[in-house]
Amino acid sequence: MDIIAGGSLRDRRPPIGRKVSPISEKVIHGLLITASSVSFFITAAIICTLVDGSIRFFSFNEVRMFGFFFGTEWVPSGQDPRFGIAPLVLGTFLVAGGTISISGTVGIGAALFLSEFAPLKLRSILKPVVELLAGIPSIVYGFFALFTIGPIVRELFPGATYFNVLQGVVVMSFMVMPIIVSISDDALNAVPNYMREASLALGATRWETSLKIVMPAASSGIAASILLGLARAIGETMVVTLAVGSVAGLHVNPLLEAQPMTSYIAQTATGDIPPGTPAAEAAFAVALVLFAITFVVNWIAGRIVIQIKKGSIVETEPNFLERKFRKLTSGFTDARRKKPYVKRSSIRAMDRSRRLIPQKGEERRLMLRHVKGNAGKVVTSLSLVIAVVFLAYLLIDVFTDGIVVITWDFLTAEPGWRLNELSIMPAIMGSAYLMILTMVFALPVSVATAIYFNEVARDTFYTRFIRRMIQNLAGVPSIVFGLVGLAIFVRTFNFGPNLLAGSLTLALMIMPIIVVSSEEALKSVPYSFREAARGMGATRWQTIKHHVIPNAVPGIITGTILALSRAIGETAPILFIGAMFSRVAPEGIFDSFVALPLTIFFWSRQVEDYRPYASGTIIVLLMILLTMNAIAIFIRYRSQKKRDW
Amino acid sequence: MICMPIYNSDIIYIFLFVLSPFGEKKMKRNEVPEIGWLAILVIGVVVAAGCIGGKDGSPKLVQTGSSTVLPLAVAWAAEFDGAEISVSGGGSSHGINSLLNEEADLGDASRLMKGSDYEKVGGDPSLVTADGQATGPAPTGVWPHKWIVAYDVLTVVVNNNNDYATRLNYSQLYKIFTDDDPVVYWDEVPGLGSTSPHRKIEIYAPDEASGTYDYFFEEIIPHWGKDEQQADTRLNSGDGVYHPSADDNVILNAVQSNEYAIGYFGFAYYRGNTEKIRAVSIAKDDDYEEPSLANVANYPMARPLHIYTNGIPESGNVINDYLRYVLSDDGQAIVPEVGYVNLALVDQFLVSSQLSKLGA
Repeated sequence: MDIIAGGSLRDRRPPIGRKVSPISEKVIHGLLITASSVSFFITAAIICTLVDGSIRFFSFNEVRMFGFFFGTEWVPSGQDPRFGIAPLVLGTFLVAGGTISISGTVGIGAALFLSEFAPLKLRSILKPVVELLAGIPSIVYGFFALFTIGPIVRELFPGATYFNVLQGVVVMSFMVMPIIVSISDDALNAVPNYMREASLALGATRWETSLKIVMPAASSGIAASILLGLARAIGETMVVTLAVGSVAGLHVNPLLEAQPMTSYIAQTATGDIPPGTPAAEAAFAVALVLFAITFVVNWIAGRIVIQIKKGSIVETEPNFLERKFRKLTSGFTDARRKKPYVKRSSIRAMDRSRRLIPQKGEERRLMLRHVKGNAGKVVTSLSLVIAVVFLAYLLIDVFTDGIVVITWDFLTAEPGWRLNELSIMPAIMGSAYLMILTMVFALPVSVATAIYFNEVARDTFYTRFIRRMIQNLAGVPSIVFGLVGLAIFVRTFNFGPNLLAGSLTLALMIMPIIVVSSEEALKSVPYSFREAARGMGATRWQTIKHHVIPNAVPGIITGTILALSRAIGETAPILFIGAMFSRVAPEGIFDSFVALPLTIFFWSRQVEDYRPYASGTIIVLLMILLTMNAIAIFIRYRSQKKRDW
Repeated sequence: MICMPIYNSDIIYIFLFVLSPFGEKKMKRNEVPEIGWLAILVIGVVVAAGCIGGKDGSPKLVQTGSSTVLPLAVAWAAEFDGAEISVSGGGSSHGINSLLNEEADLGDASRLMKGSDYEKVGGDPSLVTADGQATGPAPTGVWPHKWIVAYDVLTVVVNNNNDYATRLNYSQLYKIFTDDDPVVYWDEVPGLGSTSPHRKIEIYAPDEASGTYDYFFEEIIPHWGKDEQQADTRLNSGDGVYHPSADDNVILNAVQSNEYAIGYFGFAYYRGNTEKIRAVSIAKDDDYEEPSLANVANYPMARPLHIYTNGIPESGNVINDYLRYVLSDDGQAIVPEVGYVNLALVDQFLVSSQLSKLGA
């Protein structure tokens, strides 16, 4: 998020040394600018692809633009197709709204507990556990929603259909929760301790302090986390495709089937929708609307995050939305001075408790406040407990179902087609090569972009613009990348559906993540290193190359591994590109490939006998993810130990 | 084309080796930064491991198309030794379209090629005949040739507790599955007898993009696909009775758990689950036939499954070898295992005539 704060080190500190600019420096400077412009091209490519497809869609006779935006029926095929997007949008907001209500309350409660009440040791265990929830691929959640949560929902609510909104919402709440917990926790922690101390000194209980002082102070961060969680829920594809349904209906009943926008886009890839028909091209129009919605939500969240960053250089004039938002929260914060504003009722409460000899009524009121506080602590800790229990249930369920199929042959032999001959060897190798290639494509450009923004760039309109582009790219739903990858790499560049197209698509998707984490890594290198190098006469690029980068490498590698661990579990981007079966591992970059998440998806749609094999594949995928995260944490730990600054 | 690493366990050790130098921090003046070494190492490893010890390149084929043909295509790809085939779904239309665009070598289709397929690649629709063959190539240069590889028995299924709708004819199916004055309750269906309950019918069946859907409605709706089509499907009536799904497993589960449900899919899904749901005997008029592989000659809803190739591949071409395998006794023996009907059960002549085209 820091990249939005604007300005590189060049602007934040006084310039050092003369401006020595031999040709090589200029060349490198140019290369860095080019690399950072890639994000602009990516965004442009996305928009162009979606607009181009939408134009093709609207040029069909059966499609009316007015009917698209304001129509209430979505019947894409058949004799009398109707393309009113309202049911799809309603489906998305029904799912996203339900998700954010649950994960918002549970998430903020959990974050409050983690940052204010949890003992440090407990916190160090629980926070990674919650973040583990974020690391589980969405296809696993979708699988769980349909086959485990589904029967429970149908038993509890007899009116529920096989596909329904509720099972998707339940599962997605836990998928989105880590985002809210993580960012809210950061926001709560960022509230300076002197506020808590002052409040406690005035006699408030810890619970009152947290609720009435700390939380309002962190309100903008918490609001931002909710908006980001909302954006995530809006863009989620695999859970809704597997569990929520494929019939668009204009209703708000969570027990019935609905079709969110992302589910329709995925349907055009996996269903038998003929290419070139209105139904297929409609995916682009729907994706464009989706892109616009997530863009707006992420943009709002970004603007709010600027508020909470201390020392932000860019202080723009508050625009219309910002002024409205500041007005809303002005009861809690003094926007100009950015200090928390203590409510009078709180002061009165503190006053009352200041009397040294408590009267009878006083004692009772004090007891009540403590009871409330303890109740509050219990309730918020329950939020965490719910999250942990859910995670455990999911893991145990998948594990018990799938562990039986994991044999040496299942992992390494060439697969046959009969049940006892199934093997995921091609999928493991396909995923591995996909990750290597994705890293090869994504890493250089992303690191160059991070270097440019952090070390070299001035704070101009262009750099702020590119930064905003990158921030938005991070919020684009993965199915949109899938669609764009198909249109650009498979069709326009005519690579065909192979490793090259797949890895380029994934590289586009994880580029923003690597940029952000690389920039954090570069920032962590103390400025004095650069000063010392320049003081000895090094040019700017020499400084970067020999002093900044080597010290930032562990952080960059960690960030890359974490980004790849996200990419390996992604189904939606490669849905259009990967194959369903291959007997061998891919041998060249122009070969078709099978990947682990695709295999899970494929097998979960076969007869029930295949389900344990799908579960087994999930176990393997989770093990790989665990290993990658462990390596990343290990690298981070080792580098911090060796650090001597 | 860079040589990519092939499957061998050295890769894993090399990758770990690549990750190991990261704790080190070198501050000497002329050091090449680690990231430079990392890049060289990874790329070097990738290239070297790929170019050393190559696996003998089996020819590679790309097969895509109908999700009905998919399990069969997967089985044949797994058993056929002469090539490495990567199989994906996407639908009959996608399969034919990929073949026409030269993106695939084999296009699976559970329906016949139509004039609209040619139109989509800018060709002349009149070149496509009524039996799914083409009299001339498409503008892309591809001239698709149809091969019939198996038959599918489309099975209508109801819940296990349903003992009143065990036999249905086409006109009853018409009343249930189309929007032409459709029935809402089971006891409204004409001819079912007094045991049928006054309960709402729930339909769980393939979505409109599926070839199975296309075939089913082609059978029960007169003039399907033409302007004078008599009625539209229940799905498009908007009354919410027809719950579509692209996933047959889902349809199975839905019909199994819902007492008043009815659905349809390919025989393979029924065959694997006979104790969970009940199959309905179908008749065009009043000659009711059970769905089964053996009964395919009499069963009204038996449809052919196709693979399209670019022309008739010559002898010695790997695609020719593949088709010969598919039509051979070995290849056809797998078909019932997967859940479809082998050609010999329908018409022995189909096998021999196609094999002779291949020069066998």
